[in-house]
Amino acid sequence: MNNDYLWDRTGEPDVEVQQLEDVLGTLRYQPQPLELPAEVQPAARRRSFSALAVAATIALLVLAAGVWIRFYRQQVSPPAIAKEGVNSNQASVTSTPTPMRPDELITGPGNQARLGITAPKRSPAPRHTNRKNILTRRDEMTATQRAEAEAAKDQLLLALRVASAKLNLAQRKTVGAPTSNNIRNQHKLG
Amino acid sequence: MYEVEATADMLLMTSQGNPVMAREAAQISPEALLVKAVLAGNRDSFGRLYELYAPMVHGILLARVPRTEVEDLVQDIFLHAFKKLPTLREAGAFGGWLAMITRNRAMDFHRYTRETVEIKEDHATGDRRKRARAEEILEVIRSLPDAYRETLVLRLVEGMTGPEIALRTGLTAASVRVNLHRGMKLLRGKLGIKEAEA
Repeated sequence: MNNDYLWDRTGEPDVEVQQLEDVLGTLRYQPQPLELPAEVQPAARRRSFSALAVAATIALLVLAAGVWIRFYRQQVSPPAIAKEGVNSNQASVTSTPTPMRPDELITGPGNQARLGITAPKRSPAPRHTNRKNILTRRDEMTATQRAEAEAAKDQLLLALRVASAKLNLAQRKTVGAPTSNNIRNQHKLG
Repeated sequence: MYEVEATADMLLMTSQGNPVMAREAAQISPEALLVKAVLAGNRDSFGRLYELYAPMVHGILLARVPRTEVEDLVQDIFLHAFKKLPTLREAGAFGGWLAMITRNRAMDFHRYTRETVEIKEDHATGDRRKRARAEEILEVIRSLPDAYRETLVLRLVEGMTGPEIALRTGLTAASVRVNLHRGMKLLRGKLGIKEAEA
């Protein structure tokens, strides 16, 4: 037995291999012209949706992360504000009085009452300036709308999950991975 | 091999005017150049690919499907490959891609076709007797594991050498060498048993 002859027909010929080549050679390919119909053209290259699908998935994930962080901050921030409010009150109580400016001497509420000046009824200050107001509103939201917000978040996450699954499916279809046809192969399955 | 070299020379000559093209042509394989030419609209280049790869497709099919079906399937596979050529991502991988299409097509053939019985010819003359013997041996080869039977058919039926099989199918030379030697060992054993039984 000569391995080189089997590999590349060099070296001492192997008689058995030669006999097999001689006999099996009768089944060898007989050149025939290729019949390509004139109207057949290479199919246009399909757009590669895979990159697009990946980009869309990443964008959705970033969006979901952003929404989640926002919700998380909203849940965490009210106690922080409350704490801050308490501290500021404590600070106002415990801190040493700072010298007042001349305009504050007159416009300060205590001074106005003492001086007999009646201040006109003021409409409530804008929300962003009234910290106490913000605190109560957020507490109200936490109490009444937290469940709703949680439900909304869950819905959003579910929607993102569905979108992601659909994108995966689309990607698989564009890549062209064969899917087994269970209906057709039922006789084989059982 | 001479055909491949001739094709490469021809393509190198066509790109002589452009030094960049000439450098690229020298780096990539002749098959890849032919694939690019087909994609650029040159249908004749696909004819060259057909000439180069038809024996490989024929051999892979012969190892898996009835001999009477092989000729038609070869044509079908090349027609399919021509249509789907733009989906080939790497032009240099044409051989492996075509081999995979051929294997899948052979599997589809068994999946969707009813079992057929090959009609044996009347073996009166010496040539026919030889052909009948060839079909008997082919049946034995078909009973071997996939990797062995494909390599053995390409080597013993189509007359390709080991390096050629590796080049055409995209397999490594080491794999082809192992498949050839192990397959040959199994074939010797099976033929020996068969001859002893007869």
